[in-house]
This record gives sequence, structure tokens and C-alpha cells, in this order.
Amino acid sequence: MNFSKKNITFAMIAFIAVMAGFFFPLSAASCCGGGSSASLVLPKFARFLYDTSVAHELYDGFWNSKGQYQKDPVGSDLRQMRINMGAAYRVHDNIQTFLSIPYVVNINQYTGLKNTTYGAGDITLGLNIELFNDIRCVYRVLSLDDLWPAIYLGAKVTVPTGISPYDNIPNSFDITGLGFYTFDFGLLLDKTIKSWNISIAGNYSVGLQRPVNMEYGRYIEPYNITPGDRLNLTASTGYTFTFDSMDSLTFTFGYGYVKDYFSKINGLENQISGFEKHNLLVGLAFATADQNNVIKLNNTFNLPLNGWGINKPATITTILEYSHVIR
Amino acid sequence: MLFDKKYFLYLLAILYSFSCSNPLPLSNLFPDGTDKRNINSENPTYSGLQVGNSVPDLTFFNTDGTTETLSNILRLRKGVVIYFTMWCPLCETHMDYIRFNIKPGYPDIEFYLMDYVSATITGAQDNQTATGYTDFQAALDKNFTLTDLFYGTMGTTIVIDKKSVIKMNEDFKNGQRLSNVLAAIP
Repeated sequence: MNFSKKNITFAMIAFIAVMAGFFFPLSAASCCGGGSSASLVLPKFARFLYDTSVAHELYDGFWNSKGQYQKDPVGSDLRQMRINMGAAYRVHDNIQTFLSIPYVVNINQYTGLKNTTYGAGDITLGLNIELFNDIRCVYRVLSLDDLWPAIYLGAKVTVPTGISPYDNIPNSFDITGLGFYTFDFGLLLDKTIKSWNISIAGNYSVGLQRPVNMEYGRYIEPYNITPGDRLNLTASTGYTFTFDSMDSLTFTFGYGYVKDYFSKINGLENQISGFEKHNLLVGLAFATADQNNVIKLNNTFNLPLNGWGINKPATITTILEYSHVIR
Repeated sequence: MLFDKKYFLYLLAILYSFSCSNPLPLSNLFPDGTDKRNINSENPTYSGLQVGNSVPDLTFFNTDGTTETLSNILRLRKGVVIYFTMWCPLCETHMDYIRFNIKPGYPDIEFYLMDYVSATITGAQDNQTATGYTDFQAALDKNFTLTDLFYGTMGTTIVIDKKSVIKMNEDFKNGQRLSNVLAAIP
């Protein structure tokens, strides 16, 4: 399948815009693989997808080590913007690959300090294996087979292309990446029956140990550090309204849980590291009739209550995303 | 061909444009564990005062409205620990560790929380009170004097001995280094 002239033109415009200083993130929509709108997952049989998204994350208090919710310092206004560009490409009937390139803008404002920095984030490469051979969205359930979900096994590597605390930078406001190679392994179950969709996803991340001889631009006594493993679980459900034109609008509600385990310094567990957090998600996705163009608006937030997190900021993250599928 | 090579070229071009405006930090791609603290020719940009350097006399603007000088503190104490805080969750974890695991063992050492994000002493005091660290001596880093001197940032921990010599200037991490450095102070 060849790209149409229209698609090539769009890509050219996006490229020019990026070169001009704008940022287009890429992601994908999986409508009618299983039916959800998970990012950077190609729909079944589709060849290629590109996706751009802009995420705005507002920090809104935090949970301390005892799980007590606390407000941010008086007069502070802390935000991060991420512009993501991504693509997914099918390399086999049941295997797709993806690439995500983020760009990060940090905006920090306290009563006595203002700071805005930006830079490349950590690039992610990965693949998803589809454990199903046909579209798993069904209009009605006529047999047990109709209940079988779309199942994806995923793996990805995050490459530390961002700016980390171990770089030649003056302070923590400049950080745009973790500084570690990390490997993620995930499972996604996705099922759509008529207008209803349900998705369950689990992801486990393991980081590689690395040596450190610099912190915030200062050479220090070298040591080895291993990031804590990360567990990420999400469950969501959605309902799709289909218009006469066959364009559709999907409302999604979800819950997520993320936990970082202890990191290690010179092989010993750092007992004061790690965090835990519960997230809620509401989303809206508009898809054209051919489902080749999807615009999503997602909002992930936390409840400012004791026990909904440990050692972690509470955030309100709004993501506007556009995906285009080429079949 | 199923996939147009042009798209790969676009992505590569975008990566290239990123690297032109903000060079990708290769130090993370190929991390180095070589000890370079004493290699003068490779001194980084943001080193500030280092371990072994003497500290000029400093003035601390305490959140209780008083002022104190480093020299005066060191007349009465064996040393000073300065922890740079922005009252964040990570800072609280570190400050809790100092409070419960380190501070009780060193009554002859002064422990300072250095607020480098508030505009006024009142603001720093409000943050100290709101987070409950009133059992610490806290101060505001007026005009970023200490931040610039030590290149302090979130979690930077400084130890100064009785002779005004820096014994530690690095991130707090798990507190082990701070414990080791304090244990070595006579």
C-alpha cells in the first residue's frame, strides 16, 4: 500500500512545522483491533500510524512518605508540557513496532524563583505482538468466541536521550529524562461489544544499572545506581456514540495504579526511594467514519486524599492527541 | 513497498533538529563511572565550591526572623549540615530520614534546611510550618547566595566542618554518605 498524496502532504507540513520550532507528537489509535483508543497501537490490518500529542501536566500537591496529602509550597505553580511524536508500523501480520519521540518543557514558578527549561525527552522503541488473527470488535455475542478479547503482548525499551540529574546541568528544573535504559513488558486485553469497550493493561518496567560520576554538573565520588522496578496497571471502560455519518464519539473512564519499587545504590536497596499513586482517567475520542483519523482529549487526575499516593506529586494531566492511520 | 522510506527520513530529520538545538546528552547513553573529581581540565560548568574548599563566612536568614553567621555557629558546634529544600515529596523523604535516623546521633552538629524557592522569610516560615519541620533550623537563601556558592538544588546536601572546610557537597540519595561523612568528623 502506498501513501496517498494527501498523506504525504500532511507529513511534509508536520515536518516543516517541527523544523520551525513547533512540535508534533505521534501516537496511534487501535479502534477495531480490540476497539479501545490506546496510543501507539495499530488497528488490526492497518499498516502505519502516526500520532502527535501535547500533554500539559499541572502539579497539584503531593503525598508524603506516610501517604498524607499536602499542598504545594505557598505561591508555587509547577507545570510540565510534553510534545510527543510517535509512529507505529506493522512489520508482520501480528507484529507491530512503534517509536515515540518526546520533547519536554518544564515550567516552575515559586514565589522566589521562576524557571522554564526545555529539551529532548527519553525516546521509546517497542513492539506489540497480537495474539489474535481477526478483528475482535463484535456487534453481538453469538458464541463464546465472540467474547475473546484482543490480546497484545508488548515490549519496549526507553533510551535515555533526555537530560538527567547526572548531566552537566545546574539544577533539578532542567531534567527532561530519567537517565536510565529501561525495558518494559506489558499485556493489553481489549474488548469491544457493540458500543461498549473494556480494556485492561499491565506493564512491568525494569531499569539497567548505570555508573554515576556527576550530579547536577558536579563530579562526585562514583557509584552505581539501579532504578526501581515499576508496576503499572490500568483498567478502563468506554461507550461509543455513532452518528448518522458514521463518525463516532467515545467516552472513556478509567483507573490506574502505578508503583515504583526501591532503587538500588551500589547494589543496596534505597529504602527511602519508591512511590505509589492511584490515578483516574476521563477521556473523549472523536473518530472519523473510516476510523483513520482520531482526535483524543484525555484527562488524568488524582484525588487529593490521604492514601491515594506515597512519595509522589499529585498531578492533573491533560493530553490532546491526533492519530492518523494508513491502512 | 509497503512503507515509504520518506517517513523514516522525516523522523531522522526531526531527531537531528532536536540534537542541533539541544545536543543529546551522550553521558546518559554511555554513562561514565570514572572518578573525575580531581581532574582540573575536566571541571564541569556548575561545580561550585567542592569538597576540600574553605567556605567564606556566611549569613543565614532564619525563618524565625533572626540571623546567624556560619562562624558563630561553628564556634558552638562541630559542624553544619545544609540541606537544600523546595518542600517537595522527595525533600520530605530526605528530611524525615535526617530527622529520625541522623540528627539524633549528632547533637553537636547544626542541621539547616535551606529554602531556595520562597521569596520572603515569611513565605519560607509558612512552608516550614505547613510541612511540619519546625524542629529544624530553617533559613531562606536570600538572593540565592548559597545556591550559587554551592550550586545547590533539590536534595543537595552540604557538610561543613569546624574549620569551615567542605566535607560533602552532593545529592542526599539514601543518606548513607551523609552518615559516613558525619561519622568521620572529629
